[in-house]
Amino acid sequence: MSLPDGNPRIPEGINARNDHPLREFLILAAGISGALVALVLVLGLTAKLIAPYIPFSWELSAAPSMQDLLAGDDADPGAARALSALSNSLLQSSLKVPVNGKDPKDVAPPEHFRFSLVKLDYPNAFATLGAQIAVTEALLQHVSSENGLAMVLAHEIAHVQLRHPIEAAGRGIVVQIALAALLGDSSANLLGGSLSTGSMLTLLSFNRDMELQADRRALDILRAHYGHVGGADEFFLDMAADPHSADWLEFAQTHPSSKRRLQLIRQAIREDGPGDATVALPEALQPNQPLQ
Amino acid sequence: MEALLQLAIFFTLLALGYLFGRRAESKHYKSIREREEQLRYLVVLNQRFPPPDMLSHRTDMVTGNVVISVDYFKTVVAGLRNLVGGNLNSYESLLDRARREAILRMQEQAALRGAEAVINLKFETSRIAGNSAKGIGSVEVLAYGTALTHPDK
Repeated sequence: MSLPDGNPRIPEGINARNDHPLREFLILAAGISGALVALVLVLGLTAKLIAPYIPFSWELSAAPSMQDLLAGDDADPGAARALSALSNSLLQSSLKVPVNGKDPKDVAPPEHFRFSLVKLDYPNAFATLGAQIAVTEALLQHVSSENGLAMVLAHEIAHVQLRHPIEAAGRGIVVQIALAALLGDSSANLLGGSLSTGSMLTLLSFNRDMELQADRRALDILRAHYGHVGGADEFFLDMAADPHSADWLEFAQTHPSSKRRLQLIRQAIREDGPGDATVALPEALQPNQPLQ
Repeated sequence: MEALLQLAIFFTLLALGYLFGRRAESKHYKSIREREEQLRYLVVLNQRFPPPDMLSHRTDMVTGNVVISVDYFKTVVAGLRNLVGGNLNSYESLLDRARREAILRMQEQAALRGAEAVINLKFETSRIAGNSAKGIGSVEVLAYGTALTHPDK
């Protein structure tokens, strides 16, 4: 036996295929992102389905305190008391309106509702986990009667009674947890913020359907409370009067489809016919400086 | 905003990894093919014993060692591949390059000694784990064998 003349020429492309690396990358990226989108959709849909069945007590224990989340000075105590009183009487009226055939008391026990007036200089109202509802002081300057303010409060009460906060938080949380588990922790950062931060929970974003549902229920609550829905459009009309103002832009960002909502409210007012006169705002809630 | 920044960093790294990694790989393959052609005469075998007519040849150990780092693009493709399984093409070419380069370096050593052949070729492959925490690892390949040199040389 003697040595061969030389080493053989081994054909290329057997041990390492000569495929273009971008091809593999694109196929993988497209396939996997498609699968992720499908997963997020499925999770989103199931979060919606299971949200109403999550016990309210779980929501209470998961909810961060609104006071911790909304940095702001304490509002005028007299005004805060007046707001709470109005909110609580609306809440009592809301108990007469069933939520999807269920008693509102069972869905969200009224004793757990917390209302607060926060000293922020842009007009807005929030409802978040644990039946916590906040109205900013600046919002008071955009309503001229109790009915207008009541519509805003009833809208937020309706969000809570329809379990929208848990639905919105549930969707976000479920999706984030799933993605973090699949892709590692860095993906959670990519999607904005970790689970432990409260920012996500304060500014829960409700989608268009949720807003419209809450509006419909809010109108029912107003009917139960005042017997008519007159004045319900005050806040929207006032805000939309200047569609380029920073306040309106800020509000429109956190509340989608504002135009459609105004239509819905005005239609309800038209259908109900001219209601009785609106009620004046409680004195403590009247803005110190009248609108210019 | 922060998320956008992170995305931008990610895509920049990806593009850099792709451009430089691809360039390095094609240059490397070109050089590998050229040198393989030059050293084709220096036979490398994995049989353990010298052929009968070379029993009186001098024997020396020759080694060839190479470390190659994976680029970011390959890591990302491999990360995606991890989710679904299948051939890790991007790493296959990396290891192919490393093994062939290691043999070439070993052959160069043997050529310096004036060897006629290298027998008993063996490979060792290991991962250099120091920087693998960030998902970017390097691979070390060692090829070694016994060079057979004519006793008169």
